[in-house]
Amino acid sequence: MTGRTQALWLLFLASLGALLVLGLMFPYKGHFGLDELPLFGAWFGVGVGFAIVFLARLIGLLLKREDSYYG
Amino acid sequence: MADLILPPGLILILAGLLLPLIPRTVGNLLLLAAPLGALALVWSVPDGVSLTAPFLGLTLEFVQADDLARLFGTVFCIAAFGGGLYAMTQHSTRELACAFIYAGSALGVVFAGDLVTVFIFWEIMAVTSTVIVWCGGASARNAGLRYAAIHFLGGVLLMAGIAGELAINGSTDFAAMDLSNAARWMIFAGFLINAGAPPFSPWVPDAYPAASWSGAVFLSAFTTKTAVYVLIRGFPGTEILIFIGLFMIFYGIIYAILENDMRRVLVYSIVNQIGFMLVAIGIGTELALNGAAAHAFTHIIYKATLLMSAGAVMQAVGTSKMSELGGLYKSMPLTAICGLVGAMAISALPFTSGYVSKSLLTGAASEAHHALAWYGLTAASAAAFLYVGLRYPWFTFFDGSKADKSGQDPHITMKLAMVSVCLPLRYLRPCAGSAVRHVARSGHLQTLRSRKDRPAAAIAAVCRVFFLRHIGDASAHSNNDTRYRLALEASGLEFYPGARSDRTGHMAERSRYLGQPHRPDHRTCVCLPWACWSAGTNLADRFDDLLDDRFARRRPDPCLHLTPFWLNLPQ
Repeated sequence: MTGRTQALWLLFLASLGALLVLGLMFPYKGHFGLDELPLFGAWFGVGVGFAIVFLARLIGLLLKREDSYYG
Repeated sequence: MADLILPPGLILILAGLLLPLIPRTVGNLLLLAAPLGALALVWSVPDGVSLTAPFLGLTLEFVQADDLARLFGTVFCIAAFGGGLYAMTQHSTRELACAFIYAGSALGVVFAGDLVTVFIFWEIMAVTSTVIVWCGGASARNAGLRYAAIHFLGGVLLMAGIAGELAINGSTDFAAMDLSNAARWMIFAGFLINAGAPPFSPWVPDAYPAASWSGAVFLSAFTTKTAVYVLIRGFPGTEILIFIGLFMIFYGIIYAILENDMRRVLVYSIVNQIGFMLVAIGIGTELALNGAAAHAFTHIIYKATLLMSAGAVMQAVGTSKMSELGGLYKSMPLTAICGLVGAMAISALPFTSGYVSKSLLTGAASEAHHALAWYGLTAASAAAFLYVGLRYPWFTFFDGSKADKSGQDPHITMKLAMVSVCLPLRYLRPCAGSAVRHVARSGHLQTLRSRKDRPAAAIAAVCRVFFLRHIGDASAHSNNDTRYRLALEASGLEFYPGARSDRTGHMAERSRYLGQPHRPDHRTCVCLPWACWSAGTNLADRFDDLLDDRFARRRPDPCLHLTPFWLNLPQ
């Protein structure tokens, strides 16, 4: 990992941390209950990302075929 | 002569018929001129029915214009122009001819005033798009046959439904309907098949990637979006569409994550994005329908950008398998940039058009207190960022671990096409200015008073004119006014509330704001990393409370007088 890449990673992680702090500082009034929980956007986005990939892999075990399967 | 009305699609259909008969050099000029001519017609036809013809005791209404038709007509002309420019080096004249007849027929559906006229152009679209699939080569033969079978089934259902509607109600008028009888269910099913709804969703990823590098660009723009248009027009507020749309959203996501072919990934995302629009149509509120129309507009443009970049990679490298690609940003920088911009737009990152239209959709779900739709759309936005926003550009352009492929940016016309459809997604924000609003308000191209505004307006008007108009109206209609002002401003679309009560009231506003292009402020800088972290959730929500006071202070005219909107909503 080059120095520039490391710096970009650090900057990215620092901005995420700052946004978490900002999210706690400005609580959001939601519409449906769950979205009123602290940092909803952050954990919901990450959670959905992991869940979707897990679900896709699970379905893939049944449905996935080699690229050349259909000729 | 002044009263002569031509169907806007006629120019494209005639151009398609002429293309095989004229030298290719002249044909290339026609590829650019015909969409511009059609666009002029789209903007010049008056509201209401203006061209009819008798047929078997029925009256076919070939031109019935309103703002919704102009919105879709405009973006179809943009797609035809971008596709024509991109396909200039395509050797298959047959494909180009069919593509233009196909585009003209899509315009025919959009401006059709009765169901029989819809059916006529619907079937021409089916035939010509099948030929476009077949032009993908020998490997596309079977996919084309399957495509034709599905679409002709849709056509049969549609025709049976129209006949039933005529028998039951004695009318073939194309207006908002409910699902009160079997005939309407058949019309509904015919429309849904073209939208890629279940159980027929697989025709989209089966057929489109089988087309040539240029054919896929045309195909992605018209069939599914025409279906979205007829559903907005014919079945707004039909609740079953919410569940159909949610299924399509997650079907597209899951298969796109599993897929290795970059064009198939992009095509699965068409199903996914159409699902967004169907959910909004199912919600059926004014904001939701505006959002669906706006998302169709933006989706056509950013999907064209993505498929153009993928087509350029496929043409240069000879494969579309992401497992064999990577590191191409060095040898194909412009293609990589355009692909990235398209990926950002589909991920709804701020500064892009997708950010505005997706915010409208999620906002419509929350406004309608539809929790399932809201959670579904929000989750799908996060996943869209994952499977297209990150996966497509990373594995195609950046992953250096298997970078034994290299290519070069495509022919200059393909570059121009990519940039021309890419620009409205991201870079034309400030130059549009109030001049575009002027054009949007008037509905016609008019001479602008300020000389320096003319070039910017001429370019930007083509891309944004109706989009701005409808987004602006939708935002002002919303109960969550501030959110959409923020969405608009963060995306770089100027939004200046003011006197909007009639078509002349904007003139004063235009001169008032002329020459005050929008500049991103600190909020937009905050929005970008936040969007990365929350992976596409509706970040505008987060700032509502924070910014209410600020917007209230900036608002030049607290009284918003709104024009009636363009849809006959179900009572």
